[in-house]
Amino acid sequence: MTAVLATLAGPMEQFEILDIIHLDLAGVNISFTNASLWMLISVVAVSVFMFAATNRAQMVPGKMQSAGESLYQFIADMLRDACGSEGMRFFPYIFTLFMFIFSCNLLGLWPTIPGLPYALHTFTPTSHIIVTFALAMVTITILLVYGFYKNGIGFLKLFVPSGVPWWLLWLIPLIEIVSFISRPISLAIRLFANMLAGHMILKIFAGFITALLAAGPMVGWLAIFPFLGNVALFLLELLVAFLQAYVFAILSSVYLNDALHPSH
Amino acid sequence: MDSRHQDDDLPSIDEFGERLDKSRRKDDAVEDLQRSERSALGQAFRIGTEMLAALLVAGALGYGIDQLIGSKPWFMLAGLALGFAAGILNVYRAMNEMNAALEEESKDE
Amino acid sequence: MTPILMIMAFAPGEAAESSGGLPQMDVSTYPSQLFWLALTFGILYWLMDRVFLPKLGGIIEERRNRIADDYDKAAEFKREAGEAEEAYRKALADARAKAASIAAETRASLDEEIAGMQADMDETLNQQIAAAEARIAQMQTAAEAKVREAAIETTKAVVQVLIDEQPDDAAVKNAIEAAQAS
Repeated sequence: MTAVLATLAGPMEQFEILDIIHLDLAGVNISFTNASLWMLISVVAVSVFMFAATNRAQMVPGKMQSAGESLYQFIADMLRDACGSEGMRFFPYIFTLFMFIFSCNLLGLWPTIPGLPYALHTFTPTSHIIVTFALAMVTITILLVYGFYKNGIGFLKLFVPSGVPWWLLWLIPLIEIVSFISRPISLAIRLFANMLAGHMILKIFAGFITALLAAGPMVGWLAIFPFLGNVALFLLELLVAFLQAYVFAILSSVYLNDALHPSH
Repeated sequence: MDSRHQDDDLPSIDEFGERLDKSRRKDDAVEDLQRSERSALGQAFRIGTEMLAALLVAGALGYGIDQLIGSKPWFMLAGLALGFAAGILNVYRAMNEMNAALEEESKDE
Repeated sequence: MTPILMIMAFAPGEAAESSGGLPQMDVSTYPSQLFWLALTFGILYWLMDRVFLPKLGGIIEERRNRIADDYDKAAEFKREAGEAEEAYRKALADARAKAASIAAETRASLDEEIAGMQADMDETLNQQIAAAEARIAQMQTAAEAKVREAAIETTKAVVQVLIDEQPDDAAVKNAIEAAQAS
């Protein structure tokens, strides 16, 4: 029985941060970890894709160029819908954001090659709330900096919607401020929770399969059920990987729209 | 004889013009259609965490104030109420944007 | 306890045991994650902003312009074809009108010529008729004079025979004219 359990990796182990190269900068630990590695892999993957899409760009596009152009149009249309044509100044940021998150989400679904050391196991950077929260804060920082730069102090009108009766003027701004602060939190939690839950369930089901197979021929055939469950779940997670990147990007666009047009 | 031949040739220019216009309109229509369907989908995934985030933010703020001035648990309770209101507001806005996107879509059709 | 139940009970527990809570809540990993996120995301942003997106956007824009140009060109060709057709029709109509006018002109000049010839003919004929009439009239007067002379001579002769008196010419002439008038 202990042998069976030893083969099981706990569902949380895949989220552990492990040093690959230990680094210190002014006493702060900035080690190159498995999280860093997979961020790097994601960025390299996106760059390779974009290079293939734009290298020898032609009037009549090849397959890679078509894919790149579709993504470009997809994000550009989304941003234009949310912010109007002025919003196109945020396009490089929103596009990078979408590609980075999508790539992290998607590559994190790659099955770990058996026998690799722990630190090289597949890792999903977007399953860590500090990462998703930092990305959300970048959006909010751009929103605040650009909002005040473009509208000056009038940007504060964002917290005082027009048509509020005077006796509610103390409460509504409070609610608006809480609502504003909750934006990066909800952005961060949504992406993090989706990635966390998806990977946990995949791992638990995978654990069932291993355990059932190891339990002997009597119950081994039952492993087909968690296996089928995992196939369906994997397909669902592919969709979620895309949808969550898309939702993160579109909500960032919607929020950035407030910097351009601060009145609700 | 001559005039008959001329009449046969004549519609081909108009026909060409029609085909040209049709092709042009099709290009525009494809672009419009692809656009409107997406925004509604994106908004639908938004609502779930809006409420939670607002509660969390306002509750934490209240809790922080309580810790500072030792007024447990009043500010946290007030914060939760405020968070609830902000959460409702968030959801209400998300719904509004979703409806706007859907209306725009049905207007296109 | 069946193995399945064992696993169900055990699987989540082991994680908590091995890591002591969510790895996501381990604050000591935050600086490293933030540092590498900023670095990788920053590099990707720079590449997108400076290299990939301008290239991709450029080619899309170029294609859009080309397509718009092609549509414009097609419309231009269509307009030109329409103009050519119009010109052709106009030339045809002009040629027709010209042919008709030439025919009318020819007909008019022919008519004129015929009329002229007819008029000439009429004139000569009229002249000849007039001359003939004049001659006839002359001959008639001459004949009349000769008849009257003959009548006077005859009358004188008759009168001489009857009364053997040479009558006066004037008297005879008067008598004859009187007789003629009655």
